[in-house]
Amino acid sequence: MLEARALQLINAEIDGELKPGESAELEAILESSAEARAMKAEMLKLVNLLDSVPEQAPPEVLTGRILDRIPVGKRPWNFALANLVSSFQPIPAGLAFATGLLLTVGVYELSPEQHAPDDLNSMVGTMLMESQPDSTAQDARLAISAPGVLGSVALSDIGDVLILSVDVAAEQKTEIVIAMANAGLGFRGIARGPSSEPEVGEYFEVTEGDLHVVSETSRPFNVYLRRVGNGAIRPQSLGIEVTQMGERVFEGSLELHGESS
Amino acid sequence: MVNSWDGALVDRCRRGDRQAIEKLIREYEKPVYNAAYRILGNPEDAADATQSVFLKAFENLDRYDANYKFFSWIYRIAVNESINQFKRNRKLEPLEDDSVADTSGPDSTVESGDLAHWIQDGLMALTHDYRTVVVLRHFSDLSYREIGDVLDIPEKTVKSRLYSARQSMKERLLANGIHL
Repeated sequence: MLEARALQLINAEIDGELKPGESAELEAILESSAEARAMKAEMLKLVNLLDSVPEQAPPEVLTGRILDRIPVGKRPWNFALANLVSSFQPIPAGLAFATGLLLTVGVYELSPEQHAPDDLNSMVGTMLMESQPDSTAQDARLAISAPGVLGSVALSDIGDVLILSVDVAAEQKTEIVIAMANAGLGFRGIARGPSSEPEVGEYFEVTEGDLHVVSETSRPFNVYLRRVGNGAIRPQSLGIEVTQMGERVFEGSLELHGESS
Repeated sequence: MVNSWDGALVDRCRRGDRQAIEKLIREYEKPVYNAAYRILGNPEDAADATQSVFLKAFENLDRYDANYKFFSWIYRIAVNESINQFKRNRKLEPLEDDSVADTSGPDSTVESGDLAHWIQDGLMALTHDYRTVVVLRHFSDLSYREIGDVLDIPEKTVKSRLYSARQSMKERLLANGIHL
């Protein structure tokens, strides 16, 4: 078993961090110990392996994404989170809890008051869009037409985040189920339009990988999704289901195109 | 590693100069992304973390002390953001294994392309303390002293973590059939 000192010197030499006088000490150790020589050879190979791993290129859209979060003409640190978040009105957690159904993930991702003011990480995925995605940038669209229900669901892939824009008019309380997990997607937040206020009768839940959004109104909303896992398996479609009074009135799927780099 | 830093650029960023902000992002985006990628293990989370790093950096730019190296400051934010995100992922996706999937087994033939896979697997098997020093040393090319500055730990601790981490990685690679 090599002594700690020998290991330290071997590693320091490999890193080019040997101090004056230590070279001679290491040389003596290596000369007298086959184990030390073997260790040095192994460590050298490991370090060479580590250093041979190529750099990863960030997604091409990343610079633009970051710049887009910084308002033009403003001092960068003055763009308060509140300013970014205020355009979104999450469905109140209280309503969701009242249903006894809500998984806290969704609310945690959305509610700014639950985070330290400077916790920008928590807002990733919820502050990407201040309005409906441009229809020209939509990657897939699904028309929804059933007795008492009319509208569409569109998916925009903007790199690491996918935005599902739901615009469905219904005559009665409607539940829209989005099969995220089956599509290899995770939930990153939900948002209403800029001028909307939450209304009674709206709530959402995440159960068994599906997002359920229940609404008695017909206001459009955006759902923010992100790919999960290591990306080895890429799903092809995102299932959408609409139910009323516990009865399925529509079922369809959005085809997922384009892969994040 | 980014070696050059123009202090005037930070001042311009502080004044809200768009071009300076873009220049700053372009200069540090790749190293920050790569550090985040190696700590988190996947490109999507690395992109999220990188975005957070820059937004947080710009929001707190007035707190940056120009007597210190800018890359140390932004790397510190990057490491903290990445580790926080890693912990959050573990918490939110308890059934999902963030490490690289073991698909071939110890007796398989290792192609050159798989080496990066197994290196990342070895990294993800380390504790985040160990992983961070390996990432900063080998993927950010920082010296012991610079790593100590970024992590705010003594150089002695950097050494001890790095040596232990390498030993663990070596054993992990050997266990996966990668012979050194």
